[in-house]
Amino acid sequence: MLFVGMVIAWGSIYYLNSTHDVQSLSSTYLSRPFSNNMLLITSAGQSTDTYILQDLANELRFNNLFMPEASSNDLAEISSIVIVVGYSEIGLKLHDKNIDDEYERVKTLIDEGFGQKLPIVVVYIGGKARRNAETDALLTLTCESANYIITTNSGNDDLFLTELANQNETPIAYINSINDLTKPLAAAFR
Amino acid sequence: MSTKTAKSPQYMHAFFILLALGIILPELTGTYLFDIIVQIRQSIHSGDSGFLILAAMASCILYTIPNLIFYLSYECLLAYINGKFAFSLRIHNLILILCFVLGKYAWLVLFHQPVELVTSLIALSITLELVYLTKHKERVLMPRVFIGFQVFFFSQWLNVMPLFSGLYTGTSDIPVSIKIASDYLNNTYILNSIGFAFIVPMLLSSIMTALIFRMYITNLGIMEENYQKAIALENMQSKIMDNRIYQEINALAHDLKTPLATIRGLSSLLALAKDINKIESYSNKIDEAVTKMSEMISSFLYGTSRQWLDVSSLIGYIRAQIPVEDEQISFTTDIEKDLPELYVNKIRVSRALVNLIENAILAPCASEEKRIELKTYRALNDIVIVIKDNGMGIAESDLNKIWQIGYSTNKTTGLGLPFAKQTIDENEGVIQIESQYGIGTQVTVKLPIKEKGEITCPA
Repeated sequence: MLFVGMVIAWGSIYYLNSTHDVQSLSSTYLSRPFSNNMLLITSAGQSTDTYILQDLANELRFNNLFMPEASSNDLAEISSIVIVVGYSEIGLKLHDKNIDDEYERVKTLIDEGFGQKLPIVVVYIGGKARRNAETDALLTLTCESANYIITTNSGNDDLFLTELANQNETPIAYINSINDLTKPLAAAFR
Repeated sequence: MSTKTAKSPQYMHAFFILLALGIILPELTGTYLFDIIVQIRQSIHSGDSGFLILAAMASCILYTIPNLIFYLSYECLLAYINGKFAFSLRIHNLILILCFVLGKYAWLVLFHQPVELVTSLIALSITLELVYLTKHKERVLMPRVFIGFQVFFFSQWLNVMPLFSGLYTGTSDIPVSIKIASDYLNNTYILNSIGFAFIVPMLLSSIMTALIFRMYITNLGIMEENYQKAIALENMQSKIMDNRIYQEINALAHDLKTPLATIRGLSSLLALAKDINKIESYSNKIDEAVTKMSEMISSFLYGTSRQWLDVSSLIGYIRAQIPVEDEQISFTTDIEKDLPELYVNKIRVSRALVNLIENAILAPCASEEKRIELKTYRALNDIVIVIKDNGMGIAESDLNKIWQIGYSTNKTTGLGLPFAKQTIDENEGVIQIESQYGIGTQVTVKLPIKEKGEITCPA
């Protein structure tokens, strides 16, 4: 009986959730692309999503420097910064870091990039599941200085990223699935 | 439903061992979590779904271990507490779920370990339902270990299956990474298919396991019941046997009266006799009567006791104990001449043969006259005694039961034939029964002929 009850409750929650899914396809497009001489692809939160960005950049034949733990010293000869946000506790442990270290590193990197007037593109493909206090803090930090934001709709179901983009008047692109990421990326760097 | 158990301290020890294992588990499994991250990275870079499937498999195993440890440790703790304060299975399950949730919370806060609460609770509820299905009254761990392992393992596949992403499953770091990577590699259907390939057979397997344990416990109950019945039957047979022995003692006491009467008569004559030759003759006869009494008592007391016995005297002795007064019974004897003597326990063998003849007398008969034939002859090195009747006989299906103690088709004690077989066996003989239902029964007893020189230690 307990099991049947749980299945019914579970199914009800799923149904209610599915009825509230809103497919937002609206995007703000850039007036002109950013420089793609050399992209620095880095992570904010050390999730595996960063590897997807690296793979896509290679596929699009962008010159890129993949450094998940890039610091302000790594910005020489860099024309644009792509920050893939997504908090991963295991990823941070793998790099022997904690969230405070990571936050500080990203902040320093953004400050230096901002100082060098490098365009910053923030990408969030973690979806709803990766949204938590740590990821939100990193998104807030990165979006403040971002020149362009790309996010999946599932990760923005509470319009958190939309609000951040509106606050800073940052162009934002919404994608339905990760495989749609190619289009806004190509638009940003070509 | 609740049972106090003498093994309670062992449950407490098991709880502490599992608790210690749970505390050191993050240290033991940390590197394996890193390996999963590396496998996900490899799958993204190479586009090879195989790495992702390996990562999913490893993730399921790594998530199963702490769940199983949590579950079993709380089962041990509750089994121990139940030994002290008995409570119902319903209360047991509620406390278990509460402890499980609190344990998971502590696991998250103190050790920063991933907690998939929805999946874990689903697995726990399925496990508890299946354990309930086993009908195990005692809080034994074996079914819980076997069922728990299967259920917790297949449930972890819900975490990595993209199909169930909207159901709050697979919300921790590694499952999320796996699902995002599978979405990127366009192989969500592969993960879903593999997930179902594990979930469906393992769910069926866990149900089968529960049913097997249920059958086991049912069979155990039946065996226990049969054992109790067998003990009751044995006690009853023992009482019947005691009664039989009492009857045997009565028969012996009756048989002893004859030599005692002889002694009494001879002693009276002895008092009056004046002729020395007669006194000697009377004394010899008294001595013979005493020897006979001694033999009778020895035969009764000791199964190994043997006496030399003339076959015609044996038959006469038996015949004397069966007064056939019923006119509808025709009892005939046929004894071959010059038969050698038998070396047997006179009292027991004669009682065995009397039992066989009594059975023939008691057997129902279709014809008006019942004929019982007692035939004795020599066949090579045996003396053969055949008791044949024209009764209803024994059905073929009952023939293999006739030697069982207590088995009877004519409302007797059912001890006669088993006693006869045991006695004939003890006297190195053979007993056989041939019967045709509706025609009659023939019992053949073969007793070995001994040479007097063969006997080294006469009784």
